[in-house]
Amino acid sequence: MVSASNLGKRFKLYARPADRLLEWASFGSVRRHAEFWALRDVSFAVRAGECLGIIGVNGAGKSTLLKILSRALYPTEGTFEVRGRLVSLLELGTGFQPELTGRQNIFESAQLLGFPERYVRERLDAILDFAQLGEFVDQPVRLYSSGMFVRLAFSLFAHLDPDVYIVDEALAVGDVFFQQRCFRHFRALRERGCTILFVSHDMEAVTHLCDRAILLNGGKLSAEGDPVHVVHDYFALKGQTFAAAGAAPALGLRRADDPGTLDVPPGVRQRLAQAPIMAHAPAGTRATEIVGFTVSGADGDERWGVESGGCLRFWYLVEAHEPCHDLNVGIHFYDRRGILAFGVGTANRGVVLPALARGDRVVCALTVRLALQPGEYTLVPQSGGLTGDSPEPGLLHDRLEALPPVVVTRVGEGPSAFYGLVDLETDVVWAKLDEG
Amino acid sequence: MIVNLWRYRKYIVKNALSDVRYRYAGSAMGIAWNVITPLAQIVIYSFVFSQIMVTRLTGLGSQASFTLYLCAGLLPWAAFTDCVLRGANAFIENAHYLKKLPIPEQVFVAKNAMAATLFLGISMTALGLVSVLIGSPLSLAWLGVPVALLLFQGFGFGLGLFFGTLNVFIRDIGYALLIALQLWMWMTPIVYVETILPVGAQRLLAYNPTYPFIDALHRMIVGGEWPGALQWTVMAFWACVAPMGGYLVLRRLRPELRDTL
Repeated sequence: MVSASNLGKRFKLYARPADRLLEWASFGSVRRHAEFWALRDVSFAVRAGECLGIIGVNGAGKSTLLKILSRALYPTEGTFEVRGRLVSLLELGTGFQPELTGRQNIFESAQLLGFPERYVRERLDAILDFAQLGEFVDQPVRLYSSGMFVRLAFSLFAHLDPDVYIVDEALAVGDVFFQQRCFRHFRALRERGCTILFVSHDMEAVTHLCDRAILLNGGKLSAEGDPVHVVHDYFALKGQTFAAAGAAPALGLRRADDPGTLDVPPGVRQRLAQAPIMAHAPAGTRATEIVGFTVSGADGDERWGVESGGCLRFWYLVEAHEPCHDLNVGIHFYDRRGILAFGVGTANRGVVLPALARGDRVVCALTVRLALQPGEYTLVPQSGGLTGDSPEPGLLHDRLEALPPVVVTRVGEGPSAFYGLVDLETDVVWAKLDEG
Repeated sequence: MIVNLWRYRKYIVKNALSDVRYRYAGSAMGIAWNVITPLAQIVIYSFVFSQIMVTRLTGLGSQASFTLYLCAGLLPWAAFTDCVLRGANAFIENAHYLKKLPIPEQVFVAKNAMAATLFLGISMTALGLVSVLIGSPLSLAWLGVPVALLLFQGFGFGLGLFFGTLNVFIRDIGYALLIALQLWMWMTPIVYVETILPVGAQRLLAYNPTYPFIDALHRMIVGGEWPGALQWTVMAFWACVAPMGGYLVLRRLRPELRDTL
């Protein structure tokens, strides 16, 4: 349905407009531009009816790829093929003219996208019904609120029935009810066999809506396959980006007083020595410092995602810069609105960590069951305690921010198992009452 | 190019029409301004050039025929200028469409050219009416006027396409064009009669591509005579070559055009 082979897009960057003139005047013998490959050697294919997720950090080349596929940009090299009609939500509302009414704009835009008038007329009722504009349908679009504008644009695009659909983050518009309707519609489109390219930073949505995913990094295809795996690669990539920022300290683990039974898998050991450790901003007293941090599954393999209700293990390597006898290691989870979903520390659970002398290091793992609503959660690991004889409780030593989030994914299909942020343990018993 | 323009014909015509309709949006008299503006222009020009600067302009008899002469050149020139200048800015103005939609680039230049042509149609109709009112009935030669106008606009469209493409890369072109077109107007016998020029300058007119158009219009509207076959050929030549040249440049630079916007 959609296929691309060795797609590449080069942008020429000129420091000054006059530089281009110079190049032209010299018929190419003078070179005054820098080259930037926004996309290089990207090949993939999407079958009819398939939903492909396209993910990557900002600037990875996602938008460039989509613009090429929707023919708004010309590729520098490589070829691509799109069979059938393609509509891209990138174009949401671009064709709207402020002076025309909503109804007129529907026809105008559709025409601009190459859909005949008759085609739109047949779907007009459905479009207007979906947009819920009421009286405003016959008012000029310039009088619309931004919400109405987007609703109209979205419902037009949703009803054009293309063969291939590019959805770019746009589902995050409107109020929650409109969003829900969008998702329903989106799913209906999938069932009807529409091919979809879905671009999003919402990893939860990608894992549960897409059949397959590709990961772009620096304009190149860096992973392809099952969305869950690709999402993990994405986060691993983000972690690496962070890790590259700082020097890796040599890991000479010294068990403190209590050797415990902690078995540190070699993979974790290695990652603790490398990651995280961006030169993180000073927060707290730095009496102890988190010099290594990583997340794994039960097997010790790096994992930044889990099904709702599943467990993740959060590994810390803490180094004491001052003597510390009551180290407290904890973690906070914030949801995407910045609300603290859950926070816990060793002190909360009555775990007493060994006293540390200056220079001592301790490895500590917290295993947390993430019974949270599916979504992304930001991690803030912290170390703290009462240093020396300071009477202040809960003194913050160190805190890691700007870590990649963990993704909690939905379990199976169907309705959510609960409402709200956390899944509280719920027991149900019942009995039928005998009358009398 | 032609195929794409044809595919988007409805869009082009509709937009040109709404341009005519909304250019004066928000005013009480609305669409009427489309007629009032050119009429007022006709009156002002004929007054200034026949009453105030009268001595410089000999060679034409009555004031009525001078008014005709003036407008026969000036109104098409205004539309031509509109074509070139708005064409030169068409891509920059419509950058937000070009960056997101797969619309062929030339559609936007065509849209502006179409709007300019519609305005021209209105003002030339007004001129025809004025011509009848001031006592010089329309001759058969008026039949050739629309053809000449279309050819002239075709030439303007081609230049618009050409400069529009270059202007995306070198924005100075848009500003330089403003000056160049002023200069060009005064190098073409529009507000003066060519016979007042020195002989050497008159000979140079042959190299001015706009001269055949303006001259043909003068002949048909003022003199009531048909231009010769050669003159028609020259006009048709420019009307074909300019869009072709513009399109060649566009095709060459198209991949980079959208990157640069």
